[in-house]
Amino acid sequence: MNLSRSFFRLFRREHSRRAADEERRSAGAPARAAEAVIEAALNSLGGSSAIPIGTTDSGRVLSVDHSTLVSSGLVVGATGAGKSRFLVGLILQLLERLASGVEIELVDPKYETYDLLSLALAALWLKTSPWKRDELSSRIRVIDWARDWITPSAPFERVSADVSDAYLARLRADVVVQANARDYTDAMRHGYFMLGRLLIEKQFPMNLRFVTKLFRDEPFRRRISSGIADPDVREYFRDLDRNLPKQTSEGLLRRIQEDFSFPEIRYSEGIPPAALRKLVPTGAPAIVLGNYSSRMSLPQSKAIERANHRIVDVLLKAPRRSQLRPGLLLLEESPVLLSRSSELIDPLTTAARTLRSVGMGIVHLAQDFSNALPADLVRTLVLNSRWTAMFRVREDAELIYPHVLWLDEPQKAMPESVKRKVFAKTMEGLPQRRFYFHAKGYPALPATSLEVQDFAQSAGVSSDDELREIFSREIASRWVIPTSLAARLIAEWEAEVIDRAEVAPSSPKAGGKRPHKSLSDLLRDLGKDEEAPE
Amino acid sequence: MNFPWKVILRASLIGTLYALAAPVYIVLGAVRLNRLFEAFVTIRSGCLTCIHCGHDNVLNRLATCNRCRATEYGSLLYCSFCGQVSRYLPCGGCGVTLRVLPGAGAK
Repeated sequence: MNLSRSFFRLFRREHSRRAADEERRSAGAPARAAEAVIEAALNSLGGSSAIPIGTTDSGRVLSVDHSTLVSSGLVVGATGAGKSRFLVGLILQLLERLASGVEIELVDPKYETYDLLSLALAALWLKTSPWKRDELSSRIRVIDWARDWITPSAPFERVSADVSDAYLARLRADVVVQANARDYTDAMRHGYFMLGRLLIEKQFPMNLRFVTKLFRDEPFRRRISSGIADPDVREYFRDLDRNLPKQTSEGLLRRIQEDFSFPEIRYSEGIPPAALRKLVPTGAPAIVLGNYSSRMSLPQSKAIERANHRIVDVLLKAPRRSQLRPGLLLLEESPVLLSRSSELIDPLTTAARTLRSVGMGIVHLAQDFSNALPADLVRTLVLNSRWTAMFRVREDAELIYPHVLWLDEPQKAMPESVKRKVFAKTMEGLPQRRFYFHAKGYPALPATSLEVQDFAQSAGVSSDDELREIFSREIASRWVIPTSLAARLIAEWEAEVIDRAEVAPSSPKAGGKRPHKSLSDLLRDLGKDEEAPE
Repeated sequence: MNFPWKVILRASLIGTLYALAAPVYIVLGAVRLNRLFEAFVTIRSGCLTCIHCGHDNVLNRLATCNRCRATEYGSLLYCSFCGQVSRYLPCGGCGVTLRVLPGAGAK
């Protein structure tokens, strides 16, 4: 032991010097380690087919493998933080770089993203060789509406043989009831549900004249119900007066009348599915742009209702879609859509959990994600999202905080609560286009989204209005029809179904009613009436 | 005066015993010296790699003495204030006790 002590005493000064050097080195080690982690994450995120989505602080391109990007994700940020431009950039990159193709469905209830993407696609159309433009146009489907033209839709058309009429009717009824600003009683909701089942069974469109006649004209109701295969629906409408009180049916009629007083609704939903199939081009489009904004020309609730009908269509078709092409459902202003239809939450959360197996993801865009939706839904969506892009936010910063790397040594040494506050402040003050990208299994990486070019300039036209005009004329015109055509088709259907000459009621027996000669005659006649088929 | 047979006998006996035991002592001494040498090489290298988890334990750093609680930049095994020498070191990776210097109980 003395030998050891002598040894240490001999080298004491050198040990002190080396210890001091080690301390100095270790002070810089965490920063170097964090940089190494970021570098490794950037290399690993790219994968086999990297899609660029931004640039990092070190000037490297932040590229993410397409399999990650076409999975479910969240894009959160305040107004003007750059969410929509990030999304447009992402869509264009996916369309451009995925040779196998991708199916994208945009549901935009605020018009901005739809408008930006329509400009981008019009610019793309202009830059495409003339002989390829037709193919490009055929791959873009547009859902839009205005006073003079509409994209027709058929909410009561059968989606698939696997989906029962009752389930489809229930989803449609819930979307309508919950999106509507006016209250629906339970009986009204049930009446709408049964009406939906009838329309699906008969493949009829929603039509005010038809519903009015169905509710008020018993012979007409008998004629319609006689051809219904489902005994439940048939018996309900045969005995409608008892199943649906008069006041309830009148209240339901008033609501339908109010909805169908808007020409956009009347014409877009009024065309019968059989006629619609001849109007709409066939083939699976690569991208579906849906503009569901009210643009202050009709109630917001009706626009939301139409958007939710479309989401129902996409979700119902999703499990039966081809797995060869990845699909992405993009929900702009997701809380606006979901807060109006809580019944959609269940299919959406189920879809978030299960659609991975069919290569489809759902991306939610939101401003105030944590506060605008119920906490359990936020939790489900966060848990089932594979990636998050977080722009300038306040409370939502908590969602990404655990995955942030602290590079600055003084900040690293701060207590946890102080670090949270510092990060919240940082997120609150992020400049436009700056965001944190977090993919599951990787740290949150700060980056700046790719700059979206000036589409008009890149396409060589004078203004965005010119691009809009090109988009309407060359792309959207395939999918919209003038309201005059819609009105003609609806009138033809009404003439065929509603105004058809009634079957003459059976003629009274010759000689009229036989007077009752005795009490037994009277009872026999009463018994016949009771047993007579309806 | 008698010839000191007894003394000579004892001395030759002890000498024989020492001569017989010398190789054993030499071997033991060599082993001990080798262990000490290895330990000093480790201490001079400034790093001890854990044989269980592979963690590199830095030996020269800011350390607090277990006996006098003095904190100084120096060797983790030696306190220049009280002269305490530690033979063992807990691994920073897995916590297992690592022997650095040979001594009682050391294997």
